[in-house]
Amino acid sequence: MTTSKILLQLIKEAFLPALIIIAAKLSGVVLSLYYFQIEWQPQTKYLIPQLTLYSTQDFIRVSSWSNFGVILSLWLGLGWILVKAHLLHETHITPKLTLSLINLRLKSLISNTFDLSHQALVWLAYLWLLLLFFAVEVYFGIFYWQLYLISLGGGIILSWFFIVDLEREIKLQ
Amino acid sequence: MKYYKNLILNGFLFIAFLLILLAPPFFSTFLLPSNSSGEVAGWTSRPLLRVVPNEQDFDDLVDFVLDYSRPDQVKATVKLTAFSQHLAIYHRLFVLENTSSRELELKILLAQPPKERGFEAGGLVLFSPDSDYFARLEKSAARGETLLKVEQPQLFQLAKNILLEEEVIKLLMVTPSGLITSPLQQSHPAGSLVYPQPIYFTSQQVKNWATRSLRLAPGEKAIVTGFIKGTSRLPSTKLELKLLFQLPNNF
Repeated sequence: MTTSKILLQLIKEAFLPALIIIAAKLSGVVLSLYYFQIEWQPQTKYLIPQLTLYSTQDFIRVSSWSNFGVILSLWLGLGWILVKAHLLHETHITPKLTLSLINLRLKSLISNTFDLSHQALVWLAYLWLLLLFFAVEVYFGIFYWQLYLISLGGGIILSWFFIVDLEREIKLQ
Repeated sequence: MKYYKNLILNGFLFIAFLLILLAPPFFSTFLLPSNSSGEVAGWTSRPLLRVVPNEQDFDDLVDFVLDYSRPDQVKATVKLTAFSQHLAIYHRLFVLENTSSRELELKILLAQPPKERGFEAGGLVLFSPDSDYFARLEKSAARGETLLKVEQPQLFQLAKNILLEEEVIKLLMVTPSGLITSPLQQSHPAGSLVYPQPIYFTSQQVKNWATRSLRLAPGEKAIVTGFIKGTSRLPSTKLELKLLFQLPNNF
């Protein structure tokens, strides 16, 4: 029996962003509740505790800012992968930078195409999946459309940088 | 055979990948649940006051729309059918429940005068489930009188005025022997109905915009009953009332 290397790599790479998204959502909710001084109640009917707020405005505010926190965390993660893809990619890293990294004992930062493409694919999948979810929330009026437009704009720019790197990679090969 | 085993194994891996991918977005929606039961304008959460419209007893004669978009009030639009020349009573139109963990003060306001014209008069009374929503005059009361003998004076606690037949009268004091009011403008026979500060309107004007305030302990309920009298000129018609269930001193 042979398992797909691609699928195994995708699963391996999917854990970290999944945890980051959950942590970002939780922190976003907690920070919004404290920053806006919103009254809330825990609901422990289910295995995962739920939060109960007292008004729709509060709900929309907490939901919007915590969603935006999730998007910010995805931007940071994806941004780091794109920095690696553009500057620290083994196929087109400059010899000078390679030497510097070796001297600094940071050679592990140099990434190969297999790892980078899977990481970028997973992070982009999360980004666009969440943008799709949030579009539905904008439609129902529970996510500020201004924040959504910023999130969408950032998503498009980061995707564009990924495509540019991918095209360069294809030309090199 | 090996091909199929690979296919099944990789199928499982693919499903596992999709599940990992979908878990965080679902976690986000689960943490702050969106509840489409209509409790809070379609979204969230448990309000301080639960307004339960009576959708069982009146069939198509009454329509309800509720809006919980503010924490300190619930808006409701209710359409009541007025029947020509008849007084229609919509008993237990709403049940209101304090769902918070503290005592709440509650009153109901009419947001705007009814626009329709197919009625003579109408109103809404707010009262406790263990009491009646009206009392009767025990003795006839002449014009100018200020002491009204009623069956259950305790029903009128917290009311600032009363509705006696079609007259709104200022209520000064509730005593065990009756109600002390401002002087009556008209005479009223024994047995006339007296309501504790209802919202009250006629086709010309709104005579009382708000019900009395009731204090509800956590879990305690209150009832709203409506009444409306149609005109002789028109057949039955639906009258739209825009109401605010307010929690005035709780925020």
